[in-house]
Amino acid sequence: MRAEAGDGGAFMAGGIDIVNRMKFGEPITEMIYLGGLTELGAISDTGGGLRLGSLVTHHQIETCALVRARFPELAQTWHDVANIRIRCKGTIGGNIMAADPNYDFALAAMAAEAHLDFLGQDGAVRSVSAMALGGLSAYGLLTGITLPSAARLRLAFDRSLRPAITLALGLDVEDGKVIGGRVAIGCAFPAPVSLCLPISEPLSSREAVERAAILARDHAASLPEPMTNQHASARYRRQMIEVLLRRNLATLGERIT
Amino acid sequence: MTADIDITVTINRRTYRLNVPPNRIFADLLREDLLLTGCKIGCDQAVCGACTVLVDGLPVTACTTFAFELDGTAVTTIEGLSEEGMLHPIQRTFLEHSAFQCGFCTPGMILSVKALLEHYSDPDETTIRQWLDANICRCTGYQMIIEAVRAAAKAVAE
Amino acid sequence: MNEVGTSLFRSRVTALDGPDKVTGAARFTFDVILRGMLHAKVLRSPHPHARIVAIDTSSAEALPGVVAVVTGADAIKLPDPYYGVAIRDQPVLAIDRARYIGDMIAAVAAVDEETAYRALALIDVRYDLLLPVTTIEEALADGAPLLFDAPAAGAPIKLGDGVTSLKEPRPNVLCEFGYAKGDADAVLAKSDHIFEDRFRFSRINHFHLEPYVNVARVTGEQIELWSCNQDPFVLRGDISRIFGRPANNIRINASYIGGGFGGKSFCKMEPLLVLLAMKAGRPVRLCLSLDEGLLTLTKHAGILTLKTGVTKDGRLTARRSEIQLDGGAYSDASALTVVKTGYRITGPYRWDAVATRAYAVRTNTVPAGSFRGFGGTQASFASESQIDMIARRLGIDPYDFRRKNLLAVGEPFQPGDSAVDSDLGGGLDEIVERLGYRQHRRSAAQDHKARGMGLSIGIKDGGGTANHAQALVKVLPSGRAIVNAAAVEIGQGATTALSRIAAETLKLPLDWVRYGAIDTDHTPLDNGTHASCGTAVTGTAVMRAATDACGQILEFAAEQLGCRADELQLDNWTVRRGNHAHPLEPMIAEHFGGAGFEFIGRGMVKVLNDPRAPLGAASLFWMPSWVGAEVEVDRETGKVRVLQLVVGADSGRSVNSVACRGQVEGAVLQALGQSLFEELRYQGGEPVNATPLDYRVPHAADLPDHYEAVIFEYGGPGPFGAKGIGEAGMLGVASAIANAIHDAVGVRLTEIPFTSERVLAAIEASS
Repeated sequence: MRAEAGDGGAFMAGGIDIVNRMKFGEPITEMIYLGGLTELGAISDTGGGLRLGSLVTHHQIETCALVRARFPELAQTWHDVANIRIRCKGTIGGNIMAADPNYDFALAAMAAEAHLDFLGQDGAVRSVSAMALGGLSAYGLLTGITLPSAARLRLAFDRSLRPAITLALGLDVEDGKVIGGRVAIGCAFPAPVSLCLPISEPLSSREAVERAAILARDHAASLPEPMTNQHASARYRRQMIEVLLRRNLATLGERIT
Repeated sequence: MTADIDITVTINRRTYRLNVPPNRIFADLLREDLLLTGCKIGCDQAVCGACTVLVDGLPVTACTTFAFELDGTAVTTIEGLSEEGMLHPIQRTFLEHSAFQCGFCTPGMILSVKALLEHYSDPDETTIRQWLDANICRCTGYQMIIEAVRAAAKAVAE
Repeated sequence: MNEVGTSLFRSRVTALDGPDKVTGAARFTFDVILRGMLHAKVLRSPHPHARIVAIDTSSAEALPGVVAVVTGADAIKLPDPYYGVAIRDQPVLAIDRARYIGDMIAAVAAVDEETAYRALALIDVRYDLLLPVTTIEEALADGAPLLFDAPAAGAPIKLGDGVTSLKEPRPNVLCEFGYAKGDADAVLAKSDHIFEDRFRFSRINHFHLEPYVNVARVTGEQIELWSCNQDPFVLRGDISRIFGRPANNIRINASYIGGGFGGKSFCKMEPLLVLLAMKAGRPVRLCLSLDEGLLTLTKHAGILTLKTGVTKDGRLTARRSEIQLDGGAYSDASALTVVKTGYRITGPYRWDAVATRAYAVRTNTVPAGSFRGFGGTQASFASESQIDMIARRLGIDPYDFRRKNLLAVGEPFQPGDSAVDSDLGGGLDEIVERLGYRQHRRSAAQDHKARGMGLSIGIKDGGGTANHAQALVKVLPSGRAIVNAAAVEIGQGATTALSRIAAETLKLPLDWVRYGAIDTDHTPLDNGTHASCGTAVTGTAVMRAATDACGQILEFAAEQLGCRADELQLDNWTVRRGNHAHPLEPMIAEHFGGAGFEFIGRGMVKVLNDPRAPLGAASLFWMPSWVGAEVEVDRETGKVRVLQLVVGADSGRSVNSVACRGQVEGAVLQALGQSLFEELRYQGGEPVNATPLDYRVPHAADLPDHYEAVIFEYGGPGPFGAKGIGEAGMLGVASAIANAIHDAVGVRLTEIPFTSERVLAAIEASS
C-alpha cells in the first residue's frame, strides 16, 4: 500500500477533518481511505504499556477495558473530549496528524512520552518520540502510538480552561518517587508544545506537592510566548499555565505511592 | 475521479444496493435520492448535529459522511423509528414533554437519544447532558429535552 | 415546572405540530423543491469597505450549468432597490460599494450548488479599498470615512408627541431617538448622589439551525416565494415596492420555520433571489450556509452610559442616558431597535425625570437588527447592573433598593403610556425565595472559589407598538375547524396556542382544530411574527374570528330551530337549548345538502394610535423578567460557573403553559451563552469567528446545576388574559450574573461576555 498521499491527495481515517477541509475549498482530488485497515484499529498489550493503532477511535480510548485499567486518567478524560459523535468516528491518528493545537491526543502522547510509528514511502517503519512532534507528515503514514509502561507513569489532564489552554501532565515514577516528567500545553501556541519538567533529583510525594508552585512557575517561565487570539491573551495563558500546572502537580503528587 | 462505488446499505430495515460517486455525501443521498428528508442539514460541518443518523447504532453526522463509508452498515433515520405507524417510546416522550420547539434539530436529537439509551439504560442527568453535547438546540434550553430522555429511559426499559 | 396563579388551560396538551416534528415529517422551507429548480450562491465582499470599480461576470456566465448571474447593475434598474425598516439603505445587491465583509456583491443561479460555487470563483471584481470604520468610536471620530454619500430613502419612525425621532442626523449616524420627562439635569443637580457608569454590550448571532433559505419563482406577472421569513406580509410589501409589482400577484408561502429569534424578520436576501429568478426564467433556491448567516445579521452591540441620581436613602430621582448602538453597515431594523432600547433604559422603576438619547452608528460590520429582546436586553443589562452598583455604593441591599423603587401595578411606565400590569415586587419575592437569597452567606476571602448571588428585573414593552392583526376561522360542516392567521410557527407554539384559543371559543376539542397553511393570497394579514405578539395580538384576532363564527353558527341554528340565538349555547358541535341538544352536522346537511356549509368567522385587532403615548401608542402589555443567579468564581483563573438560575416571567394567563416554560428556558440559555462566552468577534473589520466551528453557542453541558423557570399569571390584555412571553427570558440574565459575580468577588464587570480573562483582570485590578 502506498504510504504517500501526494499533491492534492490526503489520507482519510475517521473523516472528521477531511470532509470539512473539502467543503471549505481545499482541492483534494485524491483520497486514500484507510477505514478498511482493521489492524490499525487494534489496542494491544505491550506487557506494561499499550500499543494503540492509529485508527483507534476516541471512543475506544474512553471505553476499552485495557486502557481503563492501565491509564484510567486517560480513559476518564477522553470521556469528555469533543462529543460522542466525534469520539465514535474520530481516530487518535487523525487527531494527531491534523496538527491542531486545540486537539487533545497529541498532548496525551507528549505527556506520556509515547512513540509514534510511521510507515515511510520506502516501506520502512520509523519510530519517533511524541516529544518531537512537528512536520509529521514527512514521516509517512502514522500506524500506531505506543504508550510506555503504566507502572512508571502517572497522567493528569486539565481541560477546564479550554479554549484558552489545555494541559496534559505526565510524571515518571520510580520506587515511589517522581524522577521526571513532561508538560504538554494545547490551545496556547500555534502547535502543541511540550517541555520536560525541571526535576533534577527524585521527589517524594510530599516534596512534589510542596515544590509544585516553584516547579510550575519555573516551567511556565521557560515556555515560549503563548499566542494572543480571540480566545485569550498571551499574558493570561502564561498565567494560567502556571496556575493549572501548580494545581495538577500538587494533585498528582499527592497520589504518588 | 475514481469510478462510482457499489455499496450495500440497510436503511430503516430495508436493504439498498446503490452505485455512488466517491464524493457523494450521505445526507444528500438520503434527502435527494431516497427522499428521506427528516435528516435536516444545519451547519453542514459536523458541529450542530441536526443531521445525525445512526450507523450500526452509533450517532454520526450525515453531512460529513461519504456515502461509500456506509457500505455494509445498518442505518437508522428518523423515518425508521416508528414501526407500523406506532411511535417509538422516545418520540412519544418527546411529544409528552414538549421536548422541541422549532423542530429542526429534533430528528437528529431523537436519534442521538436512541443511541444514548442503547448505551446506558438509566442515564443520570450528567450523562445525558454530556451525550447531548453532540446536538445543538437553539430553542429549548435543553431542560425539557433532558426530562423527556429520563422518561424515555423508563419507557424503553419496560 | 412551576406556575403561580390560576389558568383556564390547566390540562397539558400535545403540541399540534409535535407529531410532524418528532417523525421528521415536518416540512420547512429548507425542504421545498420545485421542478426545474436552480441553485444559487452569493459572492460576498472580502473587504470591509471598498468601492466596486468593475465586475466581470463573463467567465462565470460561460461556465456550463450556469443559467444566470446578477450584480448591482441589475439591481440598480429596479424601481426601488433599497430596503430597511423605516430607513431604507440596504441595496438588493451592492451597487457601488461594499460596506462590510460579507456584503452581497453578486449571485449565481446554476444547475447545482457545486457549479454555482465554481461560478462564484470565476467572477472578477475590482475593488478600490476604502478606509473602514469598525467601531462606534471610529465611526464618530472627526473626519471619519462615511459609509454613505447621500441620504437614504425613508423617514424617521413616527412616535408620540414630544419624542425625538431623527433620520441621519449626523455623519455615520443612522437615526436618533430622544425622550425627556421633566428636567433631568435640574433633578440630577439636586440629587444627593449622582453616579455615572458605562456599559458595553456585545454582538451575537441568532444561529437558528435552519439556515436562511428561500425559493423564488417568477412566471410572467406573478412572483412566488417560499420563504423562511417570519413576516410574510411585510416581505410581500417590500417585494411589491422594490419590483414595482402589485402585491396581489405576489404570493409568499410560509412553512414551519427552523428557528428565527428575530433573525428572519424583515427583508433580507429575498429580493436578491427574486431578481435572480427573473433573470434565470426558472425557479431558484438560495440556501445560505450558517457561516453566511453569521454574516447576515446580528444583535446590536453598544455602549450605554447612564448618569443616575438618587437620594441618600436610596430613592431614584433622574437618569440621563446616552446609548450608542452599533448598527453595522445597513439599517435593517436599527431604527426601531434604537427607539426601544432608548425607551426601556429606565427599567421597571419610578423616576422624577428622564433624559434619553439613543442612536445607531453605522460601521463597516455585519448589519445589526431584530433579535429577541429588541433593545430590552441591552437596556436591562446596563440598567440592572447600575441599580446594583448604586445600591452597593449606598450600602443598601440590592433587593431592598429595587423594592423601594419599583413601579406598582397600575402605575404608567411613563406619562401617556399604559400602566404596569405585572406585580413586579411579588415576582421578585418569589424568585428570591426559590434562589435561597436570604440564606446565602458570602464566601471567605481566602477561598479560591467564591460564591455569590445576584438579582435583576429586566423589562420591555410587549406586543409591538400600535400593532394589528387579522384572522379567519373556518368551521366545517363536521365541526372541524381551520384557523387562518399569519403568525408563523417558529417554535414559539403559535400553532397550538392559536388553535387552542379558537377551540376554547368554539367549545370544540383541541384536536378538531388545525392551524392552516400560510400564504399571503389566502391567509389574512399579520404584521409580523415578532415582538412576542402572537398570543396577545394575533390571538385576539383569532378569538374575535372564532367569536364571529360562533355568532353565525348560533344564528343559523336559531333559524333552523325557530328560536332566538341568545337561547342557544354551543358545545362540542352541538347546540343546546335548555335541556335539549341539537347536533349541528345533520342540521347543516339537512339545510344545505351537497358539500355542506362552512362558517367563516372574521376577526381583527388594532392597538390604537395615541400621540400622547411616547411611542405613538400605549404599550399593549409589559414583559418583565425576574432573574436570580448564583455563581461560583475561581479567584485564580477568573472562571465563572453559574450554579443556579431562577427566572420568572409573566404569561398573563398561559394558553399553553408548557410552551411558556419552553420559551423562557430557551431564551434564558441564549442569554446565558452571551453572558459567558458567545460573541461574534471582530478584529478591525474582519469577523474572527464567523463559522459554526468557532462561534460557540450553548450546549446541554452549559446548563447550570439548578435551572428553574417560574411562570407567573398576572393577567393581560390578550385572549383569556394572556400576554406574550417569548422574549422575556433574554432580558435580565446578564445583569443578574454580573451582580452575582460582584457579590462573590467584589468586582464589577460592565462588559459582556464575562470571560475568565476579563474576570481575572478585574479581580487583579481591584486588589
